[in-house]
Amino acid sequence: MSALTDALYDHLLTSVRSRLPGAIDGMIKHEMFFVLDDFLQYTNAWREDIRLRATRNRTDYEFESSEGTIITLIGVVNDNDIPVRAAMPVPGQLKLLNTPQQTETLFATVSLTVVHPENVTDFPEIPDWLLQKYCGAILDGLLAAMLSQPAKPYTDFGLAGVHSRLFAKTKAEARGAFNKSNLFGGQRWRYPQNFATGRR
Amino acid sequence: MSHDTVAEMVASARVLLQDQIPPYRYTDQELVDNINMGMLEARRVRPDLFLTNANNMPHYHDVDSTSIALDPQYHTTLLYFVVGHAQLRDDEDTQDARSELLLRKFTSHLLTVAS
Repeated sequence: MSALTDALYDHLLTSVRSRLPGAIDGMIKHEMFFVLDDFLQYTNAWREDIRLRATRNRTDYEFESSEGTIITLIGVVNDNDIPVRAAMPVPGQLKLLNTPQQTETLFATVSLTVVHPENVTDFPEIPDWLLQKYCGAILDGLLAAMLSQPAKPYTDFGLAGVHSRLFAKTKAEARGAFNKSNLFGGQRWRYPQNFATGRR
Repeated sequence: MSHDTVAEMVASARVLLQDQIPPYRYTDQELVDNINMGMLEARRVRPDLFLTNANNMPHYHDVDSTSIALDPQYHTTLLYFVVGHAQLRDDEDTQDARSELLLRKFTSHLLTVAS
């Protein structure tokens, strides 16, 4: 994890500790995984372009991310940026809907979520920009998760509801922003397509 | 005085029990057993305190420098259990009331912010 992410996590931890008397750091870090996973699954914010070598007469390929866990296939294009019809029946398994007639390079854009940390009490690895841009949202999600735990010194279902609603609102805004590639006032892009259903 | 090790916890308990001069009224083994029981009771009401060792609870045997595997902010809470449980065996009204107060304080510290 980068020094910047470490610093941002520390900042977050300091804020959470002061709002949750009696909470232990291990539990906060444990819940962070679920909050980040929820955020990334909903927004598809963390994306990666994975390069594949498609060969003649072969439609099924396996691929993996070096950064996170693959959850959704955003789209596939070839070397000329032309969309290629494909599906991902199982995360990490690409199925081309048309059999390639020649060897070509494809680029599969996928959305990712966090990988389970080695220790349950470690923070998950995430890109720096995610925590920089959405620190407030992550804080709301984390507080909602912690405050809704029963029989704890910091249990407060009312406040949990408040933070949960704030988190949901920011997730929705983030999803819209990433669909427009974070372009202020931008229109929905044709590339990358959310559904690679055909050529235009 | 810190309560980070078994020896420190037992020493602190002896101060509250007014039992610092041997021969002790409450033996070392009794107080160590109380620490173990307190840990199990804490595990029952606050499993989040034992995320990494829930299936392998720490068990202490001797009064030594073994660290107590509990978040430091709850060491005083555990001390209340050790002292309260030690006094449970006594059969005097004042001791009963004190024991009950300390054991209730142990539970309330784990479950609420109340001091």
